[in-house]
Amino acid sequence: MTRMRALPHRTGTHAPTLATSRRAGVDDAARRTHELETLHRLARRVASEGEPRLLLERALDTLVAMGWFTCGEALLADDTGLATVAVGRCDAVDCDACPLRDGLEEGAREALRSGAVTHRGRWHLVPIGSDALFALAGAEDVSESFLAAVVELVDAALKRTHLHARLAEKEQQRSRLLQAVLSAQEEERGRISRDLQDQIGQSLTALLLGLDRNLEAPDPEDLAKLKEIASITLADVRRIALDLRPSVLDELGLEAALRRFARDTHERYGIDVRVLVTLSARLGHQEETVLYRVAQEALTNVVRHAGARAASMVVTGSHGGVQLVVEDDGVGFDPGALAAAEQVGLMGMRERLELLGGSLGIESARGEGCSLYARLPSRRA
Amino acid sequence: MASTTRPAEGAGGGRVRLFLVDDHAIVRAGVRALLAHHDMLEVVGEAESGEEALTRVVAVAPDVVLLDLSLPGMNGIETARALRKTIPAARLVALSMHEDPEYVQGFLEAGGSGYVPKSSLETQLVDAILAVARGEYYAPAKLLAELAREMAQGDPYKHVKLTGRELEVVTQIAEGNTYREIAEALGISEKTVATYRERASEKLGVRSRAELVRWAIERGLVG
Repeated sequence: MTRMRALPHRTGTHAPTLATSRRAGVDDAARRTHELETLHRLARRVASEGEPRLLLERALDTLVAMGWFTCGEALLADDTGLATVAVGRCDAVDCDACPLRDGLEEGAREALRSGAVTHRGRWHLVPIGSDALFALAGAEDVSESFLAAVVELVDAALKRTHLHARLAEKEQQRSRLLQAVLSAQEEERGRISRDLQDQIGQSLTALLLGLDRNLEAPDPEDLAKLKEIASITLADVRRIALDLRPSVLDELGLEAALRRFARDTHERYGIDVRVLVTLSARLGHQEETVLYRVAQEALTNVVRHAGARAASMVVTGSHGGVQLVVEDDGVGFDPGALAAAEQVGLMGMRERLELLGGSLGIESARGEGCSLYARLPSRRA
Repeated sequence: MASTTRPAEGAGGGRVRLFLVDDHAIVRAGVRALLAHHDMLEVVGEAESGEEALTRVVAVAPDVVLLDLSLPGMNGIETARALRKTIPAARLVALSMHEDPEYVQGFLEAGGSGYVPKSSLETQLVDAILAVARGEYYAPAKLLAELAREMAQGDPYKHVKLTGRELEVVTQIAEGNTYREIAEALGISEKTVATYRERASEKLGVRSRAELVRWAIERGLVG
């Protein structure tokens, strides 16, 4: 009796054959055909679903609709425990599975722990991966190979949704980063534009007016003042150019640029920054730029947040490439609990390094300063 | 041939023959104007790029080349290196926008003899030219002082003996390993790594990673 119930009872074309045939071979062939058809439908239905709960619901639906089970539930484990996330509707009038529903979670946890299909009354508890489970009722002779195929299929689909979710999250991070980069760029342009307009423009206007004045009636004292304006303007231009991109990096290389930047930081903020570069030759243009920008960002963070008295920038050949370590003796922080703005900053550094095949590491703790490790591989010829 | 036709430099009484390299015509004209009243100085040629200078200096054989450091194409430092090879007898003076000790050091290392910031051409250029023509070196005192300060950075290390573990940790740090990597390699906790490093730093009298790594390199602990 139960055997009959377990056999497909809603398949239309197959049912008459099964009903009339008593031969095991035919039975078996029909069963296998039905198994294949079920798997086929299952695959088709879960293929387009990206949300884990909906995916499990669709899978349940298919299994019940194809007559393998009278009803079922999908359970999903998360941080808070095991919860039912989908129910396969049951049409049976006198199903004796439901009274057992109460003890289900316990059995489900057990099945998930063991990773094997277990039975509890009429329930088949079928773990899928490590955190999902089907509780299926109403069939006792489902073949093991069929169940295994179902599990494999649903598990793969679930993993795909997780991958999609991670990808989507990564994509979102990237787009946040891009936003941050774009707005920083716009902000910088605004600042440069203002600098040019307010400082350089004003000074040059003053110079023009003064020169006009002196063309008419030369006045040595006035000319001396004009000369003073010209030198101040020159200093402004140098400062603006330095902020944009230090030419020292192109002309003298990473060590000189880091020393220049360290001295600047010392003069502006009073932090003692020691620089050690032990490379015997200059790096590639891209490598120098990336390491300089990472050092700049890292030291800027030190100035802003660390409350440090001293910092180091050390560049050495190591780990089959080159490594920059920026270290400070400041207040430190928990790398796992950073504010969004700092995360974007770190992500920017990481992206720059990863583009050249490198990596970023951070070690810090409250009260213990911070060490930032930027690694780049040697460029292959 | 160049050396025979060339007048004796500076003290010898002859005029110092100058070659001017700057990509801005207005700067070249300004420098010419600045030097025009000096009987001792004579501009004998000019070029607007490093490449052009290299093709022309051999024929002109100047005593001193005045070299802009921010040239398009081949930059000033590269041009200086090439000029040292092409006309080793000529002395090089940088005319630079940069008032940074790194540039002074970079230019001297590339074979230069004098360094004049463009903001003080008027007061220092002639002095610089005459000094290098006499075989001396010239740079603004302020920049030299900064350079000296940077070079003097780092006190001498205290002579102490580190324990085996301290040495191991310092070596690993100098090799660029993270605390986690060191902890794994030595089979100790990251906290212990930090403690060994602190003890070593204290014994050596250093505060920064830079000094600690330098010590390790000077001691031959790492390459």
